[in-house]
Amino acid sequence: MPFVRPSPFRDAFLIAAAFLAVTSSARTASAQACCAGAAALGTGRLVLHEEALIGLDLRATDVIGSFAADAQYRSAKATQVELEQGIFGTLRVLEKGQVTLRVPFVETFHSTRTRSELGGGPGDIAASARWDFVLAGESLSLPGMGVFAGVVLPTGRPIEKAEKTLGTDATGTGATQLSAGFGVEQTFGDLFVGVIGSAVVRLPREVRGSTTPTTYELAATAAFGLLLPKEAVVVLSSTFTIEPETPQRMLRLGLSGALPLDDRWRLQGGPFSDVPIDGIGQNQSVGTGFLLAFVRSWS
Amino acid sequence: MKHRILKLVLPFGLALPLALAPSLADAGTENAEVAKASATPLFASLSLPGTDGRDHTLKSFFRENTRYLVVTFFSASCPCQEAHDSRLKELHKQWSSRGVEFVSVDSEADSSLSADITEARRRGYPFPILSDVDGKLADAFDAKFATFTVILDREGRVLYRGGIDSDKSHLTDNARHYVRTALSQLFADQAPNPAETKSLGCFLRRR
Repeated sequence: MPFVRPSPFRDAFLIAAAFLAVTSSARTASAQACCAGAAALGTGRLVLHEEALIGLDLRATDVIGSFAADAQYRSAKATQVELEQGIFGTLRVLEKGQVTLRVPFVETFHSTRTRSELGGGPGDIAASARWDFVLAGESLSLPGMGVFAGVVLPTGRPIEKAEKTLGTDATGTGATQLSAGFGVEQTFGDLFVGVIGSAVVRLPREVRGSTTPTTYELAATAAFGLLLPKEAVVVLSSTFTIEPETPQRMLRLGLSGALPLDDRWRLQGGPFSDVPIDGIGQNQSVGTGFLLAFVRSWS
Repeated sequence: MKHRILKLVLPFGLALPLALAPSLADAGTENAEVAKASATPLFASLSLPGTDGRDHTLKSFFRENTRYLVVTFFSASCPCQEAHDSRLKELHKQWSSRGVEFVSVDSEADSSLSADITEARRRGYPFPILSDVDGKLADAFDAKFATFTVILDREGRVLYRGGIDSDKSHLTDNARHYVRTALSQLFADQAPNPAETKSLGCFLRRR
């Protein structure tokens, strides 16, 4: 395994450990997370009884290296930190549906041996919808099952339109993305298990007079959670993403949590990292970072 | 670009408060039909074992001076239930001497009478928990969530159905105390208003 240089976000793991320590100190342990269990799988997701939510999130990613076409990992020679803040809102539609809109703002700091640069702007707006046929915990014999679909609009600035030397003012992919997927999840006492499968289609776009091809991305996520006192939940997840045609692939590990502060406010997030081991990724940059979100919900 | 973003964001921004307004204004909704409901079918016929060592029908809780019965659906593993234990006991303390009986019902498929006995003792319930493993009472009241509560009169008619209060699992000082309000109104010879509210507990785990 190659040497991975120290990341400014390694402290995120300490934060996660502190989160565990705080939530584990409660006097009693109720096994069934009433309402927040599924929240750890998605920051904008309504949980049982919630009719609406709004939230702010902050995602910080340090690009620590990349995988080349031969799947060999190489550490980054320069510093590249990407910050992204988003405001999002979700509304309940009928009894088991929900729609989410997220508006991001992206800042990128890029530093080489000779030059440093900071840029940013509005990112790609995302809208999604989810329908749960069965909710986790509703039945002993049936797991929670839901489907979702989404669209990401190219409202950010694509890399070819960046004006700054190091491209730090690029804030979007430039392509419209359509996605669809399904999720299966269930609680078993204190444990929470979830599996998510999704597919993304990136539509063609014009780049300097030529049209890019349609690309497809498939992703599979397995998540194992522990329901904690105070209705907190910690979820360890792994997501494998592959673009068969490009070809690209990546494995990302994440430790996410949800900590209800009261019935209306909750804190969500945790650290994540792409796995920088030779052979696992291909044609992808490798990042490590954390996500933090504050959510206000209405039941 | 700015106009493009505004066009996308604005409708959602305008729709959000409009859509929230009715649902956030009051979680409880008046339902006059509830007060006119006929007697619960299993009121006198379904006998269930209780944590007090006796079998009970709901009707059997009505003694000579009993005016109302408060039935709360119970989940041993639900933090919302745990949070409301103190409020249930407070309700019992306040109203039991005025002709109100209380009982909890455990309709979860993975429950057992022996586990309920342990829970009733641990929580210090001054009323029994009935073991309803087949979920017949839950079906009769269409109870889906823990802490869902109904208030019955002597004829087994549902006078109020919904949450104990407007809190979920973090109790607040400004909660709307639905059951307390309903009982106060009933003793003032008024129909409960609201007569139906949302219950915010965990799912009652069923087959």
